[in-house]
Order: sequence, then C-alpha cells, then structure tokens
Amino acid sequence: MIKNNDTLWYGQYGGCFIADAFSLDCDKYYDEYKKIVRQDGFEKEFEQLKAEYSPVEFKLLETEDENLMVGIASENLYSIIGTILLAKHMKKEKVVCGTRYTDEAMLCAKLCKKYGLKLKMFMSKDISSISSLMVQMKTYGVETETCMCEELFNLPEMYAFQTWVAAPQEYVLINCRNNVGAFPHPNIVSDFASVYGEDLKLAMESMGMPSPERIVVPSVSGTFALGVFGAFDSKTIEFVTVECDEEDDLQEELDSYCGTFTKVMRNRYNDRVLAPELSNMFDNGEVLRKLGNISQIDTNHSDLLCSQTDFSVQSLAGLNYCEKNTDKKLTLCLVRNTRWGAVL
Amino acid sequence: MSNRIEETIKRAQDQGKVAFIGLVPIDPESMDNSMEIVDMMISSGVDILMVHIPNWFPWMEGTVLQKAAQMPRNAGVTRDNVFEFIKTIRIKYPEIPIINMTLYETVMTMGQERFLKLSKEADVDGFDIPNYPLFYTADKMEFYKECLERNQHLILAISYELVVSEEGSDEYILLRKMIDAAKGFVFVMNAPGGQSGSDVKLTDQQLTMAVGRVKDLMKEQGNDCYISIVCGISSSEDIKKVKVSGAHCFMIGSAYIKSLQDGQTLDEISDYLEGVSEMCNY
Repeated sequence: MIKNNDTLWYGQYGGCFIADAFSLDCDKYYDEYKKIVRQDGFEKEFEQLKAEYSPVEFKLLETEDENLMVGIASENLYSIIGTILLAKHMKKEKVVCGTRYTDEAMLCAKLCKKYGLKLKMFMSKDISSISSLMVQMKTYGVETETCMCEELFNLPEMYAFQTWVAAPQEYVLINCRNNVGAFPHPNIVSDFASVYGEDLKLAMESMGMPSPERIVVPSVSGTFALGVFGAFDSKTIEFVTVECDEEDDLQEELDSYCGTFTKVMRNRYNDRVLAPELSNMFDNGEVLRKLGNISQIDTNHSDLLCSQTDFSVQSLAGLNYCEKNTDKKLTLCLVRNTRWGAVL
Repeated sequence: MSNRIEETIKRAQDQGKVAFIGLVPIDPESMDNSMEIVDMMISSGVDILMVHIPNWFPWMEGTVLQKAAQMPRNAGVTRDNVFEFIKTIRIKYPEIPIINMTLYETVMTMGQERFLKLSKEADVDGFDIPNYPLFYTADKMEFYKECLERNQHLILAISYELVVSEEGSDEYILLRKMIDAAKGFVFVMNAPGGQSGSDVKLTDQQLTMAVGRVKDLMKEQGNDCYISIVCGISSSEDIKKVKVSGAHCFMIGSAYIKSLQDGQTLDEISDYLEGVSEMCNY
C-alpha cells in the first residue's frame, strides 16, 4: 500500500515547511503509519471498510462518438477510511478533520462513531449552513467548528492541520486531499487514494473495456486524478486533467498549504491548491493540464445537463475538452457527479 | 556579529528592564495608517519592531493575526507595498531594530533572493520565519547561511516540548543544534503549537524552568544569545511571569492588534502599550 516511499519532494514542490520543533512529530507520525500499515490485518480491514462504506462504482455512459468513452466514477474517499483506521490502530481517541463536502463529512462521522473516536470537524461555510447535515453531525456526536471558515479563511483543512500541529500526540489528522499539510500527510493520502485507482482499473477490466489512448480527468485539487493515473501505464496512455473554476481572475502562484509547496490558483478572496505531485507531473509533461472556467462551458449540451447524471462543472468542462480534441482513437473521459458543498 | 537587536536588548538590560518587542500590523486601508501605528508604538515604549508580512495561508497564526493577514489581502495590498512600508520605517527610525515576521511560504512565493534583497534594502535586522526547516533540511535553501552573511538574524523558536526533552533523545539533539545556531535572541514559546494569541499557556514554573534550561545550555555551548518569550503574552500577570522567568525580552502582538480590529483608537492602544512598557522595569 505504501507507494511514495518517503518522498519529501516532487521536483520543486512538496517539502516539510513546518517549524523544526514540530518536524520530529511528523517523522514519528510517518514511522508509526508505516509500521501500522504493514501489520498483518490492516490491509484486510481496509478492504472490508471500503467495500462497506465507499466501494468503487463505475459505469459507462452512452455516447454517439465511437472514439469517446464516458465513464462515471464514484468519489475517492479512501484516504478518509485509511486515516480513521490508522487512528484506531494508533489507539488514539481524538481525530480532527476539515471538510468541504457533505459526503466527506458523513463518512468521517460514521466511521468515527463506529470506532468510538472523538471527532472534531472544521466545516467550510459552503456546508455548515446545511441544517440537515448539522443535525446529522450532532447525532453522530461530532464536535463541529464552523466559525473559523465563516469569519476568516474558508479553509477547513488549514484549521484541522493547525489543531493537529498543536497536539500531534493527541490527534490523528484526517486529510481528504493530498494538497494540504506538511510531509508526511500528502504521502499518506496519496497511498490510500492510489488504491482507488487500482480498484477502478479492475472494475474497468472486468467490464471488458478496451485500453484508451487518452484518459481525461476533470480535476479540482488533483487527488482523484493522481489516484487514477497511478494505476495506468503512462507510456501508452496520455493523461489530461481539466480544471474549471467559477472565477476567471485566478492567478497561479507558488505557495505552501500548511507546509507543502505547490501551485495555487488564487485571487484576492479564494484559493485552489493543487497536489504537489501533480504540479510536478505538469511541469515534467507527464500530464497535460487544461484550464477553463464556467463561462467557457458550452451549455448547449442540454442532453448532458438534463440527463440522469448530475455532472460536476469540471466534468462538463472535461467533456467539452474531449469533444474538441478528437485526435486520439479512443479517449476515456472520467466524469463524476457534482458534490454538494464547495465549488472549488 | 551583533546588530541593532542585541544592542537594544543589552541597553534595556543595562537600564534594568526587559525589552519589549511589538508586532506591527498592516493597515488594509493605507500604509500611512500603518505608519501612524508604528509612531504610536515607538512613542509608547516599544523597543523592537516586528513587521507582520501577511501570509495568504496563515496556518501558524491565531485568529487575530489571521484576520490581520486577511484584511490586507482582500484590500489588494501587495508584498511590494509592505516592503516599501518597511523601507519608510527604516528611514524614519534609523536606530530601531526591525524584524520581518512571516512564514517561509511568503519567501518562496516572492523568491528567496528577492525577499532577501528587499529586506537588505530596507536594512532590517532579522527574520522571524517560524516554519523555515533549518535543521530538518540542513539549510537546504541556504536561508540561514544568507542571513549570516548579511548579519541579519534568523530568530529561532524553541517549543516547551524541546526544552523538557531528555538528554540523548532526538528532541534534545535538535535543541542543542538550535542553541548552537541561535543569533540575536531565541523565542521560547509560552504555548503549545506556537500559535499567536494562544489561550493555553505555560505555568509560571514551567516557563521559569524552560528559560533556565535554555540559559544553562546557552552558557554551556558558549552562546550569549538572548531569550524572548512569545505566544499568549498580554496581561500584567504574563509580563510578571516573563520577568520572573529570567527572560530578556518578550513579544506582544495579538493582544493590541485585536483591540485595533475591534475599533479602539490609537490613543487607547497607546495607553495599553505604555502600561506594558512601564511594567518592563524590574
């Protein structure tokens, strides 16, 4: 399961920019993680949990274009499952997480309840106003924190990381994405998320799908894309990510989201942080990066917009890209449903 | 080689007082307003200025400094604006020590060479960049080396967990390295996790023990660096605690920056800072 093997840097990205006084805690955390993941039984338990709580779901949608396969896949929530299982094996009583989407919040709450873990959850302002979700969190005994994202930066992961750094012996940090936190947190997410890619590939193979020449993945932070790309052969398949932002004035900067340098798309008010590993793959030409924004999506695709699938805006942008780039014999566009919560 | 930082702390010690480090917030509306804050701080008795260069992801800061970062960002203040402001402070106050406080993110985003060049042009005396991983990366980015060459001190921060580490442990080895590399002064954190404006503070006994141990190690390793207390300093009890601990200086930021954010006038803030300054005498 451990894929990254202590990778601290991805080219110029990554690192562990955290005070020296706290870096020892990061190293110890990673050592403990490796020890636990390699124990007999951990992987089996992980398999059982993902099958029960977040199995890979994949189906092909009908298209008129014989050179295009459009597959819809479920979200990759394996890092939530993996880190909560880690907390259980570390015998910790407290976990902390930052959530942007309702499905993330629900899965964290359910699994923590299952294992008797005390969960502190920082919630983005996008989801903290959903009263039914807040009631659910209360039912599960979650300590929710909504003021920080409401009044300051709408960055729930940042506050979760801050809580972990202040008491690493006390908490386990649940990271949903590998674009946040100093080493080893991005690596741990990457490890768990990559299992998803393998499961997805198996699901495709079991359907007898031919191997594509290009895989297009609509992307936000890149965690899903990395999980998928890792399972396929980059020598024979071209990898493309399509990003689609709500705002059109985002500029790219190099910055660090809690200790790991990477590409950040930002304006004066908002930030979208990319996974450092993916940033490096862009620079190296291993993945083609296509940027867009909502205004560029051709909404004449009423057949798609009105279909049974609730395409995310990134998925619509991905489909647009595929329709305009037909130079490959067979392209797989891996779309996902919209997630209720943040747009970015 | 010493600079204005050591000279100022030594002067304070000679006068029988602890030195007072004050954090300068960036006013989102104008740098003229920011300069008025600086004028008020100096006239109220602040000895060393630490200028808050806002971070766009202020993950090591408490809520007050997060707000102090967010407001200039939303107002469109750029880092170049902040550096121009620091230059203006230097011209107006050539004798006062200035320390740039930020996260290493800002250095990387600007480019280290450019950050250091602008800091040199503004003649700053040091940097408080708490997440520069000096020892973890063995100064991979050579920020510490560059500081040494420019005689600008990189201020190191020692957590309580490091101070109480057992001899021979990894933490103890790191502590010894930090004591060895310290320049100007070291921060001893008064709160776990090193968050500004923290409500969780060390007890009087813990802080006194921490300062004592750092002093002993400094002496043992032949470093005459000073000790400052940081995080969660705001009340008269906190300053008494600092003096009893034997530290040479302390830093306050969040306490009065919050008052500014809440709409208190500069005169009201000045009264608070003057009160703090008076308490600096032994």
